[in-house]
Amino acid sequence: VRGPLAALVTVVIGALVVPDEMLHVAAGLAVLAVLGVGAWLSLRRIGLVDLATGAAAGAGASVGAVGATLTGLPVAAGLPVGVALGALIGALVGAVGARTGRVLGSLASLALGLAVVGAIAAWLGAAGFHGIARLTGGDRGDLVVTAVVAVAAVVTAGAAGRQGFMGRAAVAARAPHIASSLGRRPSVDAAWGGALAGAVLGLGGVLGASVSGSIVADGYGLVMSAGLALAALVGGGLPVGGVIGALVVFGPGALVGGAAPMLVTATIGLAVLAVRPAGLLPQRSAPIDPPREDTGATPPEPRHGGISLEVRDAPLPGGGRLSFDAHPGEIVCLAGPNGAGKSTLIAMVAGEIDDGGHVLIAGRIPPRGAVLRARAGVARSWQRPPSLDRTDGMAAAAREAADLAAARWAGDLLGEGAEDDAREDLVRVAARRPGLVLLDEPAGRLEPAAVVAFARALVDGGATVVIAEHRTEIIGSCDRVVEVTP
Amino acid sequence: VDLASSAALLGLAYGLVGVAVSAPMLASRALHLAVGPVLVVGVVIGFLLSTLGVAAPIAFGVAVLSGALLSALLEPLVLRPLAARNVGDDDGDEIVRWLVGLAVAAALIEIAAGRWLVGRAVRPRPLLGLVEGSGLVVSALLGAAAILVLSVALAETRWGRRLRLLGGSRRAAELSGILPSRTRAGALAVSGAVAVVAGLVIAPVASIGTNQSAGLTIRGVAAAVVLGVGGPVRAVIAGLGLGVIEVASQWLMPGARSDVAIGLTVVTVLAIRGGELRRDWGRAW
Repeated sequence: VRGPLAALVTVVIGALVVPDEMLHVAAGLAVLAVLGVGAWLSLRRIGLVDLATGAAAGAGASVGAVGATLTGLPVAAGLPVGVALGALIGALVGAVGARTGRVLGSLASLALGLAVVGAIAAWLGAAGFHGIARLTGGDRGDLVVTAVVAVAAVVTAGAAGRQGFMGRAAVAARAPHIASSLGRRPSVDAAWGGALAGAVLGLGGVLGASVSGSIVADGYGLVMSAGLALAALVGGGLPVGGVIGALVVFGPGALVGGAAPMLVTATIGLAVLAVRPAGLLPQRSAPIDPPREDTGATPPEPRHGGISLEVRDAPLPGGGRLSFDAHPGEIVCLAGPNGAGKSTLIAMVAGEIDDGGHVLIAGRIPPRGAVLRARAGVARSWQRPPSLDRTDGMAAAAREAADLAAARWAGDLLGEGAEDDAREDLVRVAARRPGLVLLDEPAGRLEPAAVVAFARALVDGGATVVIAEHRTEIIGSCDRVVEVTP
Repeated sequence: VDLASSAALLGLAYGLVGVAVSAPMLASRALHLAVGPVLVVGVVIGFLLSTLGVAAPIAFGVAVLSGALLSALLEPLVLRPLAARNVGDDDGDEIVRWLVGLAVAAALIEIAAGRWLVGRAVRPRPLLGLVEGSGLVVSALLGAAAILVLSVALAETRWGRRLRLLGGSRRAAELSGILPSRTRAGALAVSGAVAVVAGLVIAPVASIGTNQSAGLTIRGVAAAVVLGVGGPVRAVIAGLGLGVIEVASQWLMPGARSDVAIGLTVVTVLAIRGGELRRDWGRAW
């Protein structure tokens, strides 16, 4: 509490002593700080490649600020409108980005931004030019309000960034397939995170329009969005990094006017990023607040009991067919060379690809799709899991204290010396306390002995474990081996 | 007939840009988010030279070379500095840096070109100075030929296979003697050159300026990916679809920007087919 309070007092005092001729510029810099925080939330905290940040600000500026002016309301009345519109755009970017993945998500956000800017141009054209009303009626009052909002945005972003919903949004945006396998809806999770980021941008848009007094639709296009994305990357791992980045990229332009200074500042920003890929400020190692109670470390017992598996005449990539079953309390190995179809079988059972009716789980036809199967108690690991923060992963995988205890047990068992991403992948599996566990070549990146101990503890707890593997150390430790031949 | 021919020509050009951006996409797994500004700069250089009285074939050649050079420069100025330091470092973050870097480069080219163009007299003219009417047909034929040649090059030649190998595994590519930087720069150069050809193809029926650069990027990149990654036939079909939507939106709402219709279409398709496209993307290498 003391840090933000001190920052708030400092900023307010600073705003009160700024010379009159600098008031307008200072208010503009405070607006930049708000926009920088919004971009930081979207790109750095969640991981979306969001090129519609300018559009979110523009929607707030055009409908919130211009709309309030047109209707004769105070600009402050447009703030909630700007927040809502920004949140809507941010939610859309998050939802589509989690559905398509980050690369195609960048195209979706660019297209959405272009459409919004076109719509803003049409709306401003229809409404005619409008001098936008001032926020408070005076330069100093505007500066105090925008500065206070900027501090509030940094504090809010810092606090919200440690909440579970932002961790789930980060997993959904960075690895939608992992989120699905944890029983989450990636689009929904990412939309919530994107909405928060968009809300901050929409708020900044209203403030910026009021401080400037007028807006131009094309000012919210690619140049602004690219600059904000760069600001978020350059700033680094803390919300205040977004502020620093925005001031680096846009600050000189705000001082002298126009976009031309960006030719220098953005180039400097790219150079900074080349030297320090992680940005100026360090990445937080634990974005989410840790649990307050010591949950201990206990092997997981299946949340809903062990789950049997039957696969009947499943087609293999080589043209053959395979039938096998696995029951609670046993480890079954799918053994075979690369390309035989082991991972395809795992994906089929996990619901990532259509099983064609060849799979029965707990004696019944399972629900379709990875999300519903995960919720039914199926968990899987990946051959090449992506790099995700542990606490973000826990936010997506764990819901109860027992889940965290299982995760801690798995972390201890697999050891800190093991390959981080692969270990975290199995930690997430344990945290879900599944009844049917599918491990896809886990020994490729972890010690075979640790993998066997992990699997044996799960079956001792009552789960069913199926391991796709071709390492003899693993195959020799399984209760049954099923040959998968190409 | 005019509307249909405009839609076909626009669509063909967007499809051509789509095939063109496939080259750097295969080599890097990133989208060429600066292709629009590269196209605009190349086309405007061609127009400027024509306006100054330079012979049409020479203006055409210089325009194409300008696009190739500007696009190739993105490798040493953006991709290489922002690449992961070591092979095997987190590729996800590398691609995020590349995408942001390319978007920033697009913004900087847009700003610089906008300032450079202020006050200059530019007279648009059909491709290679061909007369109206037959010029459109020749433009279309040239665009179709370029699509065919580039598609064959990407699918059947050693160059195309090297791009795919580099995008699939940088480590494997290096062990095979492929120089990542030089290969990516080559792919970017080809895409820049072909994008300028596409821009010259549509010059008779579209306005080309810095205000259109982001829209052209979206049209070209969307053509490359919205129906699936890596296929020239899909790129051309998607491009034609975008051309039809653009012309139809201008016909239905003459005062509105076609960017709204195009942008919403792209977002809608990505939202509906997103899961399938994501899996396609993962399998493309």
